[in-house]
Amino acid sequence: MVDPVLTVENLAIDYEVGAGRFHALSDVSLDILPGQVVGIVGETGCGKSTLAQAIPRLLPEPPARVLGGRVVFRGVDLLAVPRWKMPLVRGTGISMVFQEPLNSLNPAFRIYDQLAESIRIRSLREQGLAPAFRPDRSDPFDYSRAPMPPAGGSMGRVLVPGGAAAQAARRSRTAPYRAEVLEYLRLVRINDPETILNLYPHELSGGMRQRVMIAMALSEKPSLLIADEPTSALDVTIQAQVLTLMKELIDEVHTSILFISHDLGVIAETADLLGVMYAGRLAEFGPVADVFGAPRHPYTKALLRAAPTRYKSEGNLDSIPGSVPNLSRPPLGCRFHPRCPLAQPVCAADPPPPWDTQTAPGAVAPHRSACHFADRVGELP
Amino acid sequence: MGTSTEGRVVRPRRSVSQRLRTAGTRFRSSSVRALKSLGARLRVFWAILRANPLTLVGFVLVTAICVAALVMLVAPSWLAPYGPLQLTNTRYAPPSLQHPMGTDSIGLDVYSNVMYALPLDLGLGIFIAGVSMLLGGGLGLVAGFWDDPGTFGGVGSTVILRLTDIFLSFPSLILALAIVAFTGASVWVAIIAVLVTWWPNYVRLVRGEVLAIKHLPYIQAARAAGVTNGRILLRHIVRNVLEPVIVYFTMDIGTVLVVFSTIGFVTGALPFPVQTASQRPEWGSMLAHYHETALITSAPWLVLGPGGAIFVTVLAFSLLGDGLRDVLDPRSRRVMAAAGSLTSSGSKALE
Amino acid sequence: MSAPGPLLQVQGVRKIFPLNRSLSEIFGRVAARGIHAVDGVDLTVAAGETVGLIGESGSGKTTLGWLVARLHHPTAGRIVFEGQDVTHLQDAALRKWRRHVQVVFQDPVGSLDPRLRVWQIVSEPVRAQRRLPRRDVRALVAGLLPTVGLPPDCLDQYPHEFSGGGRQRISLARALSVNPKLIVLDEPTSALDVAVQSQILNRLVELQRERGLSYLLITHNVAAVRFVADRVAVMYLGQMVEVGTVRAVLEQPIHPYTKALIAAVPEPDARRRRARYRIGGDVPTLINPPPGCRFARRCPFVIPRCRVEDPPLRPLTEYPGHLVACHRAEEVATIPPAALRESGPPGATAPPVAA
Ligand SMILES: Nc1ncnc2c1ncn2[C@@H]1O[C@H](COP(=O)(O)OP(=O)(O)OP(=O)(O)O)[C@@H](O)[C@H]1O
Ligand SMILES: Nc1ncnc2c1ncn2[C@@H]1O[C@H](COP(=O)(O)OP(=O)(O)OP(=O)(O)O)[C@@H](O)[C@H]1O
Ligand code: SF4
Ligand code: SF4
Ligand SMILES: [Mg+2]
Ligand SMILES: [Mg+2]
Repeated sequence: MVDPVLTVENLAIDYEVGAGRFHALSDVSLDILPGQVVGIVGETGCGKSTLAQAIPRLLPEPPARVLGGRVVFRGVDLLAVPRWKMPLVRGTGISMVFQEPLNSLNPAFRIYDQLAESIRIRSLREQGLAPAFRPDRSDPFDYSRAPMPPAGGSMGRVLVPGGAAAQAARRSRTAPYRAEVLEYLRLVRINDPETILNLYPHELSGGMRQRVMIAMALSEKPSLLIADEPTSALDVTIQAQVLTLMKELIDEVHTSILFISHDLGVIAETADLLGVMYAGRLAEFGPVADVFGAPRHPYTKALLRAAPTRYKSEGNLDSIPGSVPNLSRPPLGCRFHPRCPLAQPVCAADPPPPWDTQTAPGAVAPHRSACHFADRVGELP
Repeated sequence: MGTSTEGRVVRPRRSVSQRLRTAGTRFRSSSVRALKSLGARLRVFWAILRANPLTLVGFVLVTAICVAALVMLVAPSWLAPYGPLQLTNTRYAPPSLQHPMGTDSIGLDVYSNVMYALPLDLGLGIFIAGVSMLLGGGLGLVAGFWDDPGTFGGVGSTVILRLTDIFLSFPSLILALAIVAFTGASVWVAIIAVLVTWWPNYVRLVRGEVLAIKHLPYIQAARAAGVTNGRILLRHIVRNVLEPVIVYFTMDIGTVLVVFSTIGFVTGALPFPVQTASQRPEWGSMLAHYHETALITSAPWLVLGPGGAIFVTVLAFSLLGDGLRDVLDPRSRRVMAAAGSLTSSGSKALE
Repeated sequence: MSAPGPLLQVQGVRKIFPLNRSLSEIFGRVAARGIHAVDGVDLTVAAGETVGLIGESGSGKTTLGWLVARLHHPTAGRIVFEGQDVTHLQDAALRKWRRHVQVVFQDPVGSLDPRLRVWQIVSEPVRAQRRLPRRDVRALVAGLLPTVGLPPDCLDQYPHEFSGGGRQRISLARALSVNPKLIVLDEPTSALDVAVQSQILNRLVELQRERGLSYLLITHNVAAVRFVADRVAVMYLGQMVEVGTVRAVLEQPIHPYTKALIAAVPEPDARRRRARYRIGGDVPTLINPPPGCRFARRCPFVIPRCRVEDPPLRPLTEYPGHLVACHRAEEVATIPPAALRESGPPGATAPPVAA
């Protein structure tokens, strides 16, 4: 049995907004093994980004508050690490692709500067010249494979606008990384990287910006890559290439990926395991083929049906009736019950048993579903 | 609940001022509404202060400092028992009720002198930071907004930036010292010396902010809507740049004060003790004078008086500046938190 | 009153973004270079019609959309709107014309000014056109919000209080406020989840039926194009490679790039996911691109002629209404996209990650 890279156990996070609280995450548990891709899908506002940012502890606290649970990354409970050490922890192998590429790239710097900076920090870490988190002498971050993938630069990095002098200084500092920068831009299929290097973020197309973000994350060679909707601005051919690239990263450095997306097709293609979130909880979790092939939660079923597949002349698209519950007062019992076609009185009274396990023989992971009537989901249209 | 409201509010964060304002919509007259809205704003402001003790401390201190400065202009005798040149008959008296900051080698009351210096120092801080903000901010706005390469504006913007770089690369203090060395020490020389090295900071700050905002889709949306450049600049860009600039400005007042005092300290641009009773002392030069004339160990209060005044002023403005960030940003969650509002129409709409 | 003929005609439009030249280049008389983002594109949009614009990322779709809305000025070519040449409209005339064409941007966060309230945002195009008393403006906005599925009482809220879908509805309301004839939708749903996405798409189609709007829908989402579009235009590296009705293009794509695109659409059916097509090969530069078909380096059907001669966008006799820019269009027309998937492209795998 391999140790998981990341274990999230009963994580609960609230946003405290004045007198009220948003239960953005309740009781979320999942494991990610080395080299695994775990996909997360769910409606807007169900807490996907909250989960993504909670793992490297990037949530602004306040308003966010961790109520309980553990986030164990390579044997270290990140939630127990004192806050002042967090910048170091972030440089240990978790890197992130954020949801909004325009907001995560610094508008005042050329692409080259931003990418070179993250490569520079990574290589400093590789040479042991930049600080990285060492919980104790035995160093649980040191995996057997050498050299270990270091450093999430993008999170520890400060990009202060400076004068031309500062830019020149930066340029000379990062000059040795030019070749590598070009290499990574080619990897994410940016054509003509020599030109792109000298452009500013707003001069790139939406998809190019997103690929620059991905290149930045990959250049850090993380052991866990958290990708929050990394491909939603890419066309399908490039999407396919970028996903291939991520898979290759898995083979090369055994990266694990937490992959958040709205696009069920992309998830189906990329992920090994799939978690379906609803209103701050994991509704269903299991091997991707099982979850898509034989969903065991009515919400998953509805989500699959909502994907547009029609022509205009064939009538309106299906959507899920009702709307996402207000997380400050989530429905008692099962949170999906106001919208669920299978709901029974028991659903409004008792939250479904934590996990109704139905593991297919030989599956890589159990197929769990938080529904009282998981067995009847198959009957739904 | 049909599809018609489904896109609505997953984030029920509704502005407090808005909540309070809806309470007041039955008032027809717009001036009444304006007053209401002002009142609402003040209440939000107060709520934030309450929720944030440090900001409250900053606010109270800044208010006290400003009031004291005004009083010192109008009726100095209320706050300062002695004139700036009035000798008492005790020398080297340690702090006491009669002389809160003690007296010096010739018998001047340190506290009174610190108080007389207050309007000058505060005024200088605000003046220098303010002029820098207007000048640098204006140039930064221009350099950021009209920076398309190959156009007239682009050339202008490049010129501004090069100038900024040149001035920015001077160390402020050394430049000031050089100017003073050439022209002799005077208040205006010291002011100009600081100003010359100060405005570039604002150019950088504002230009950076403008660049960040300028390419956001909402600016393009305004353009697509047919809004003129001037109105885009005023309505969207200045409005969004104002908040970081005001915050920076508030904190900057303290910094200017320190630098100016240092210049006063090193160059003796403002003599101390003052030559005539109508002149005002300055904290930096007081510090310099006492630093030279007193042994720190034997009469430490001499340095603590003006030094403490600088420290408190700087601290007060920094604390206030930090809190202002929250007041000015409608997205600020602390605003909501402070006012304790979660009565969102959004959550109602969803029920 | 509207002239007969299409609502919008784009004729040979070109947009070249000049690159900054270094001093040495200027003195060394190195010719000015630029990014050929849109390179001679023709397109028509009829009244009441939706044209879906799909294509490679960075192929100039957004740039074309902005050219149509006159947010960029074309380097060459003509933009004709309702029979009137609007390519060279300036200043006041341009601002007045803008009410006919509105844009909805991709990023629901960035496209709304965080400091303005909903009513101010939605009424911005109206107020830019004429001055109105505040009360009228508010009434107008309140009347508009329900048409995009927002409750009318959120006039005074700020954008950050809305979810992604809600913000996109505000953008849509802003675009609708001046009763435009054409709306350029730049990836209106790519930041939204499937459920909200279907709501917005449904709404778009309903609005079109009610108001006879035209849309230029730019997106990567083939499913959205299928649902909303009447005709589809496919772009590759600044050029139009295929134009046709939605069924024709999506079900029987003719141009090799379109085939590759359709073959690469991810499959939610997990059992078939390994079969997704991956296009290989290198992309030529957009800076003064070489002559010949721009897809030649990656095209599985390439012949020597492709490398020297630009294929024009031409109608095919067997396929009326279908325009394709490919020398071998007739020969490859019947090859289904799935065939690419089975044979696999040349050099299909990406190079390994840098060590
Ligand atoms: N800073 C914040 N303060 C208060 N509430 C917040 C904050 N950030 C998020 N929330 C709330 O927490 C919930 C989860 O938000 P989150 O951003 O994680 O959703 P998401 O699943 O990523 O949605 P999307 O698909 O739109 O990105 C939402 O209901 C949101 O309103
Ligand atoms: N303001 C600009 N300055 C310089 N180059 C630009 C500018 N805007 C776009 N470009 C370039 O033009 C090309 C096309 O960009 P565009 O945004 O139109 O692509 P797109 O088809 O919308 O791609 P995506 O699907 O990724 O959004 C890109 O190579 C981009 O770098
Ligand atoms: S527990 Fe009940 S309400 Fe919840 S998903 Fe299952 S059947 Fe539906
Ligand atoms: S013209 Fe030639 S290279 Fe271009 S798409 Fe057609 S067959 Fe391929
Ligand atoms: Mg999110
Ligand atoms: Mg685009």
